[in-house]
Amino acid sequence: MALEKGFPQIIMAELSLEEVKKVATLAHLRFSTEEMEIMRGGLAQILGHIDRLSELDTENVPPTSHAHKTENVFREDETSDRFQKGNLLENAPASDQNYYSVPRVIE
Amino acid sequence: MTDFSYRTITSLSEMLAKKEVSATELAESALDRIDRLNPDINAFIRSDREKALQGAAEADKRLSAGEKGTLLGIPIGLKDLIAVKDGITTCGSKMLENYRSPYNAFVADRLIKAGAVIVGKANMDEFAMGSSNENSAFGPCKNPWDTSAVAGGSSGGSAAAVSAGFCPATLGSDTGGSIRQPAALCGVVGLKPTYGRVSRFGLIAFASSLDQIGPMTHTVEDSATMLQAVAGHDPMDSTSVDIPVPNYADSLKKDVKGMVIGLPKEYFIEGTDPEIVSVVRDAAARLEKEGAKIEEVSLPHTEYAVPVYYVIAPAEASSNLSRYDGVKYGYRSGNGDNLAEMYINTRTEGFGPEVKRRIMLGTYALSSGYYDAYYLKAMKVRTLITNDFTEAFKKCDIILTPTSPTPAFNIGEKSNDPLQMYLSDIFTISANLAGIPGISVPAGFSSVNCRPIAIQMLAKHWDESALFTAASAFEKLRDPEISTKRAITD
Repeated sequence: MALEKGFPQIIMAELSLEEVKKVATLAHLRFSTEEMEIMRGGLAQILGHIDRLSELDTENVPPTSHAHKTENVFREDETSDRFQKGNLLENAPASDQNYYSVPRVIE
Repeated sequence: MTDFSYRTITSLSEMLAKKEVSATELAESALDRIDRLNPDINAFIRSDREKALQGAAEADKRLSAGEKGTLLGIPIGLKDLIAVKDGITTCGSKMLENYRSPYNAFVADRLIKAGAVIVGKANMDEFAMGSSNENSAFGPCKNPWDTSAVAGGSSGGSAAAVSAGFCPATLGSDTGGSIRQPAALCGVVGLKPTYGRVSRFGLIAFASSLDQIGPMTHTVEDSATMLQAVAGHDPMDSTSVDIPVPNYADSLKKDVKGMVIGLPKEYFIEGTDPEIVSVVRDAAARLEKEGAKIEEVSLPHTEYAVPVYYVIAPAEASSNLSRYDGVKYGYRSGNGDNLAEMYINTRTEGFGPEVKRRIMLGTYALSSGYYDAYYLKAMKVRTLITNDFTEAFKKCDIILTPTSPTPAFNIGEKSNDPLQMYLSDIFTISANLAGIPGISVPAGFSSVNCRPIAIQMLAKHWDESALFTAASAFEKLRDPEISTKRAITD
C-alpha cells in the first residue's frame, strides 16, 4: 500500500485587522497592537485551512450538531438540595449577603 | 520496601485482597514518588496528601470489613477539569486558579464510591485546548521518557502520571484526541469511549458535542476496569445515553479470529513518520497471523476532519467559555470601574493565548455573515465524515491507524505554529466528530531518542468491547519489551 498525498499546504485566508478588532469586541477580549497582529496571522492561517471545506458540495447534506440523534430529554421540574446558596457564593469573587456583587452598571 | 510503581490495577487489587499491602501503604508510596519526581515531570498540578491518606484509611476500613472491589484502595489521578468537591479544580487556567467545586463530577463520585484514592489532579492544556500540554497556566508537563519532549495534550498530565509510575490509572478527557495522543506520546493505553457512554456532569466544558471522559492505564485490562467503573447513564447529563453497559472483562477473553480489521488508506499519508507507518502495518500483520482478516477501507473525507473540528470545537468553546465573566466564580480583574470593563479585563487577564485564539476563531465562525460559510458548512461535512465510518464499518469490525503522525516532539518545537500543532491530531479528530470510541495502545519506540510509538483502533458506536478484544490481543502479540520497559527506572 503506497502512501497517500501528504499534509496540506498552508494557504493564508484574507483577514483584515479591522475584522479581528470587531471579533475581539464580540468576544469581550482586548489585545495590544502587537498581540492583535499575531492573532491576525494565526487566524488567517487556520481560516485558510478551514476554507478547504468549500471544495465539497454539501447542498443536500443535513448538518450534524451532535454525535447521537437525541430527542428532547425531559425530567420532572423539581427542585433539589444538591447546591446550597452559601456554598455557591463562596466561589464568588465578591458577594454581599446573599447576592453576587459586581461593579456599578449605571452611572 | 516493595516498589508498587508500574504495577497494574489488577495486580495491586490482588495484593490488597490478599492483605499483602494496605491502601495506606499504596497511597504513601504513590505520594512519596510524586513528591520526589513530580517537580521534574509536572504531571500533577496538585496532590493533597492529607485527603489522599484519609481516602486510603477509609478504603482500608472497607477492606478489613471484607468488602471487595477492583478499585478499592487503588491510587488514581484525575485530569484537573474533573470537579472534585472541596478541592481546587483549575482546568489548567489562571481563570480557575482558586475554584473550589461545590460538587463532585459523576465520574469522581463513582470512583470515590468504588474506593479509589485520588492522589493527584493532573496537569493539562488550559481548558483542554492543546496537543502538547504547553498551554497550561501551571507550566508544561514533561514526557517521562525524555523530559526535553512534550507529554502531548491536552491530557498530558494524566498520561505522564501513569507513564512515570505515580499511579496505575488516571482519567483524562478527549475532544479531538486529548486522551489518545498523549497516551501515544507517553507510552500508555488511552481510551476515548463512545460519546454519551460516560457522563460529562462535572467535566468543565470545552466543546460539548465532542468532549468525552476516558481512562489512561498501563494495560488494556485496566482500561476495561476503569471504563466499567465510570460508564453508564446519568440523569444529570442529558447526552449520556441510557443503554446497558456490557461486562468488559468478558471482551478480554475473546480472540481476534475472524475479526475484520480495516486499514483506511487516508491514514497512511506522506508526512507521517515512516517508523510509525511500519509499526501500524506490523501490528496488522501480527493480528492477521492470529486469524484476523485485514481489509483496506476508505474514509474519503478524512482530510476535512481537522478543518471541520477547528470550526466546531472553537464555536462551541466560544459559547461555553462566555460564562467566565468574573461574576459567579473564577478570576475577577481588579481593573475597570464599571461592569463592561470588568468583563473585558477579567477575560483578557484570565485566559491564556491559545484559549483566546480559539474563542476568537469560534466567535468569528459564529458571527453574522459567516455562520453559513463556516459553522453550517462544518456541521454538514461532519455528517459526511460520520457517513464514511458507517460505510467502512459495514466492511470491518475495527479500524487500525496510527494515533499520532510523530512520536513526542520537543518542548517549544511547535508552540509558535498553531496549524502544525493542530495537525498533530490529524488521526484522532474524526472519532470525536463521529462520536465513535477509540483506543491508543503502545506499539514500539522510535529509533532516534527512543520515544514511544502507538497504534490506534476505532470501533462502531458503543462497541468498546471490540476495542478491548483487539487491543488486548495486540498487547500479547507485540514485542514483549514494550510491556516491560519503563519510562523512569530507579
